[in-house]
Amino acid sequence: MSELPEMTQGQEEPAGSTAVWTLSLVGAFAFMILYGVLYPNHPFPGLGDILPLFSELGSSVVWFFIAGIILGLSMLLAMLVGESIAE
Amino acid sequence: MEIRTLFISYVIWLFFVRYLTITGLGPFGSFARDISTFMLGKGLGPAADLMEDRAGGAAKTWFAHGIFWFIIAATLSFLGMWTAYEPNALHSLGAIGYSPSEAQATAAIHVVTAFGALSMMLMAAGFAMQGRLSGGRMANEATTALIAFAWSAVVAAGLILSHTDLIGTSSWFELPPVYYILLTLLALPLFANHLLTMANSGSPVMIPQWFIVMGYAAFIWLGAVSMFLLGGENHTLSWLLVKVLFGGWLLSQALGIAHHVIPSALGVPLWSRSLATLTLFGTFLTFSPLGAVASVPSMGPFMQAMVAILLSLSLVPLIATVVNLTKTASGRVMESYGVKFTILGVMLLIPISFGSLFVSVSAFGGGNELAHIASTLDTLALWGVFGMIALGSAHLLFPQVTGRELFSCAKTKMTFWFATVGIVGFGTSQFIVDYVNNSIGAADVSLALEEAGVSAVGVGDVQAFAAIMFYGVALAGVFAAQNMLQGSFRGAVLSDGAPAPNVITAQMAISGTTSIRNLLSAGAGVDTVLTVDGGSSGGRISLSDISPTEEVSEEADADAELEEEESEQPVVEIPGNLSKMLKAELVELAKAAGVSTTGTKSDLVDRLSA
Repeated sequence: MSELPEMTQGQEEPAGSTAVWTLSLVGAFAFMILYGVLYPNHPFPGLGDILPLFSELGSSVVWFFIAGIILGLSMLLAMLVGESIAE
Repeated sequence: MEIRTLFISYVIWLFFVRYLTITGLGPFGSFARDISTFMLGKGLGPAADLMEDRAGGAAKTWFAHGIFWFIIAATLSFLGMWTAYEPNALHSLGAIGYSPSEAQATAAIHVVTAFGALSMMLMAAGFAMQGRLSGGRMANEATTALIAFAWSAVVAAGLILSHTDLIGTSSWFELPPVYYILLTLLALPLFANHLLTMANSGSPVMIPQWFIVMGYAAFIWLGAVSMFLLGGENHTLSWLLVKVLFGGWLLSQALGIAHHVIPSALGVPLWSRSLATLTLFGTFLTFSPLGAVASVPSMGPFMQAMVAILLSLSLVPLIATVVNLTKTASGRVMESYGVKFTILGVMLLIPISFGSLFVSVSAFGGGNELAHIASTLDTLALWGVFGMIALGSAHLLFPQVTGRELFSCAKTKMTFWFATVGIVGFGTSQFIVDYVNNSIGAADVSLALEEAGVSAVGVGDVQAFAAIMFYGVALAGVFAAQNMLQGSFRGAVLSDGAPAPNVITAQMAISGTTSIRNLLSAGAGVDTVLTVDGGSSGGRISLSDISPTEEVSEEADADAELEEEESEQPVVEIPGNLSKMLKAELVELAKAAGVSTTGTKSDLVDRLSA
């Protein structure tokens, strides 16, 4: 009697999948632009709450750089926790 | 206290340490070893059991702490550059009580960069290297790993202290002198551990080990002498402390690691032993030009001349290092990212040292006309030279101590390119800013502009560009940390850490005893013939190669094919008087014999004779 494999996830990466996620990204950006055109005075949900936060911090571009470092350190912490739990 | 007296005390202390190292803790003998072993182990009581006493454990812990401080230090440096462009960028943080003055921010950058990030990463590499060269492990791994936490705590305390009014005006040593004594006290057991490891191994002390041990000696001297700063402002002492911090400590550690990483990664011996020895002595017996920001307002002409000579002589070991290491890695730099980082750091030594030399000479009792580029040169020395060598060691030695390769080759590439582009971009743009600001700020220029009714725009945008470029170094730190962390958990398991030599030394002499690992590191292969001349204790071992280079690495795979080909090839008789034949005849003969026909006549004769 043959045993069924525990995992049925494929390992292939067809060229079409790249086209799909590229189109998805383009579509998402197109939607954001369209939203701005249709509702010019409405802040984008979610993103509209984040961007003013940066302006509250002093309207300096440096906060985007600091956010990058904080993101990097957070990813490090998440990796450390994740890998330790996986161990 | 006079600079002469201080420098003489420094040199005497270094020679004493050299004597101790050569004699294996000599006059203190076995008692010193026993007491050091006890103090590093059971003497700590329950604290000694907090860390696992596993080979490589110390280096792994120090690397982990070092790369964390690397990110923090690079970020603080970036913010320092950005606030030079936009002074009010971080003012909103004043709401939570963070509003450092320029001097406080600079002190914080100095303490975290020099004593946190770079010191810790270079020390980690030193432990990894020492372990490999001395029988596989440090004499005590657990306590050394434990001290990494204490060191980090002291660096964190320094970061907090630098934001208070306790900071002074001494460049690079802004914190109260007792702070540096604390670091020295932590360095003492690490220094003893290095000495003990070498004394226990019995192997001859190699050049990289000398750099590491003498560097620790310099660091310990640094902490003790910084106490003289308690007596009040002393420009000469501050100047000397900065020179020893950069040259005696950071540079020596970096050079020690570079002298190990390149031969070890490529499996080739150092190109020249005499150049390496020259570098070792020159590094400690001259004044390093790095640390250009230190200045002495007035000094007598004799001392000025002496210091200028010693500063100029320091270029000799630096040039010797660059030539020796680039020749060692000649044509094979691309084989390893550890080597790429290290070679880049080593090569940057030349332009940065030349620039720093001019600044340092004019800053010691002269007019200090080049003060405007001093800070940029120091930043480049720290991140371009020491930072790159530290990253190189992390990419080569960290996998060796964890037993696993780094997780992602793509991240390694990103780290390299972000760091390289960041350093080069920052350096070029910051020099533009420094020179333009200095020119516009000159009294006669500003007067002329004022009279003409013209206001200079300045180079604010270029300053922002320099800061953004340097941000690449902070990102390189993040990528390296992620790669190291994931690699230590999920990286491919390393089979055997021993390097695989593919260029084998023709002849090499090693005095005293040695280990198989050292022989492999020195370029010996499985077919190398060992000939022992003289007695077993005082004799010399000479290595001579009997196998061509490429055959060693590919021998196993090609054996079967070679046997088949040999049976099919026609037998060609090689005449005895090859040197009398014409080159065209030799080429024909080489074709018939199935060997390469390229090269000079003497190459062909050698090839056919072989």
